[in-house]
Amino acid sequence: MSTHDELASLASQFSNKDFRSRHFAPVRWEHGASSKALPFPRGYVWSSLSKALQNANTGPIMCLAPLVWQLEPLVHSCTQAQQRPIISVSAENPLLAKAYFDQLEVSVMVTTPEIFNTLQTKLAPELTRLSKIVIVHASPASVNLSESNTDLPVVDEIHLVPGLWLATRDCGDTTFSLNKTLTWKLDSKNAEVALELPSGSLSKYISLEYGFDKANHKQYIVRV
Amino acid sequence: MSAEFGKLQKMYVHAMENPYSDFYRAFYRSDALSNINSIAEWHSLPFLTREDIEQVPLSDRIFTPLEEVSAFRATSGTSGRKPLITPRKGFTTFPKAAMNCSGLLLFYNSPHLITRGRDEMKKDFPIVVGSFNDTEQSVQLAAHIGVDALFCFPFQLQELIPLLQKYDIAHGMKSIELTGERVSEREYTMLRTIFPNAEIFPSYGATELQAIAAYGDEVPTPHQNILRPSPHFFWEIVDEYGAVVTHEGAEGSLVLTSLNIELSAFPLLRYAIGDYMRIAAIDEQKNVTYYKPIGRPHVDIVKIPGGILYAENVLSVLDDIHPDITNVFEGHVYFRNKKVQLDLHVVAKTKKPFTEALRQELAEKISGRIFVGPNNTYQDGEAKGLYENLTLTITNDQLVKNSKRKPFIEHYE
Repeated sequence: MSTHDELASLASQFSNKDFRSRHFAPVRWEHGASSKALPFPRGYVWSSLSKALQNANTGPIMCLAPLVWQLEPLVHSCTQAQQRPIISVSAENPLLAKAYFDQLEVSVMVTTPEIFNTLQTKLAPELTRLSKIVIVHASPASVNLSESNTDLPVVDEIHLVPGLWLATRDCGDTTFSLNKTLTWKLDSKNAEVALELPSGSLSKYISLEYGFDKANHKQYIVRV
Repeated sequence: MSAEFGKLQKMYVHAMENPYSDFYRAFYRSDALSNINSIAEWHSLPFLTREDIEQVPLSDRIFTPLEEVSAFRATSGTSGRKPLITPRKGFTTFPKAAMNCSGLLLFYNSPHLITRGRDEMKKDFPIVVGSFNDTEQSVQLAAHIGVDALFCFPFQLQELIPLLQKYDIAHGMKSIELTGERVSEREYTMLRTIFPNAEIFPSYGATELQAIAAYGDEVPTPHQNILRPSPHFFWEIVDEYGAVVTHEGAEGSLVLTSLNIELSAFPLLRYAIGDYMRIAAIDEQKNVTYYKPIGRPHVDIVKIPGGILYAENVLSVLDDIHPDITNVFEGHVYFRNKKVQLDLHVVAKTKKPFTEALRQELAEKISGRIFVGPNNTYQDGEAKGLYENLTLTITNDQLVKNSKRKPFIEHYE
């Protein structure tokens, strides 16, 4: 059973009361996929994005991802805390981004690998003006491990479900950092993460396996 | 002077003396008044249109420091026009449909405005943000989480309703808010049938503005399809000559002015949004005027029984129909009594009066040259009884420009 199948099975246990006062996201990322929702730890903040914004130029933050991923309110929490304007661009109309690039000094864009690829073709010059491009990956499979995009300030993030980040790699870095707000058990090859979820008064735990390639001191997540 | 007029005065001074933007100083130029002392002076201010806004770079029309701007929003650009971007300052909204809900399915391009509005209201219900092109996945999530309220655009209903029924949400739906555009009586009645347990709340807005009106319990009519203006905007209805009309039953173009300085990262003064309204009722005791939306120019073509009206076609006909008229026009398309009528308003080149006979002759000539299909004209449709006779109004005044630059305005009765 894949991790996402496991998550779907786990998510089906939750009902309306478990989603109150909590953020949540679909366990399926694919367009058109049948989906359930996974509630986030209470008070969750997208801390890696907050850090990326702190290290970026001043200016508006653009969120360009499928709305059903529920990312936009999370991004807004980060922009609000740093008194920056948010720009929400619908994934159905990604080239609307050009109108904003033409009229504003957009600082950071949060997007998906697919949309990033589209924009690289259509809006390549505009992307070079960004201070950071945060790409949210469903799996390490879509991360470009060959680092051929080093010309652009790409921050790769691997998320368990959209918005719930597990690992991040800043532009120029060769290794990923794990989300320290989650509880990890690491050995030389595997990682296990504990995640607080609502289920009555109990917390549930899920385990994820990670492999680490330590050749040349590089540490890559290769499997979720 | 009313409290509302006091707000207009304050907004005018705020706009004119703003240290961050000289937009209005440049717009009014030498005609600028230092203050507005009477409603007559207010009425003398020119209308602001979308074209006027578009001519000024975005950075020059932000009336506040950038760190106080909470968001930028843009029109979609799907109509072929360059998107219009406007700044927002701290504005949030809370849908009436969500007041007592246990979960909301939300289709909205800037969902944070509503999730933040919920948080400010100290509510804890989950909000499922839906994708416009992934409606089924959105409804599945809503079904899992459990929602009994819906916020969406009227154009989504055709796709949404079968899905809400498929995932067994429709029957338990307690409230539905339809936003953005006019909801017809026909749509309203259909919704009452499909969602027998739901209250229906149409609201009314525009991307460059936000919600400008809502429908409420206070509305003194059996039809809830009547608007009560948002307190954040001052409404004026102007006739085709630009004069403000105020009597019950009067119709005209909607002109809006921002009233809330705190929320105005870009205050609008006498903005001709382009929508047409009828003054439906005036409650003098409560000092509230209610409006019925009667048309929004939203397409460059209008589908009518037996064919399509094309703006390009009308333009080419007007180009050479008579040396004393221009091709500047507004085509009012009325759908009534199972018939369609095109009422064409055209701007004359000179102030020379047109005789009634000439006007009638031109109306017939135009009708015979407007093609609604490959081989049939509007006049053919008149002969078949599909359309009422085309009527022509020739005016010497510039038409009240609608902000969407759409040549047709549809009217439904």
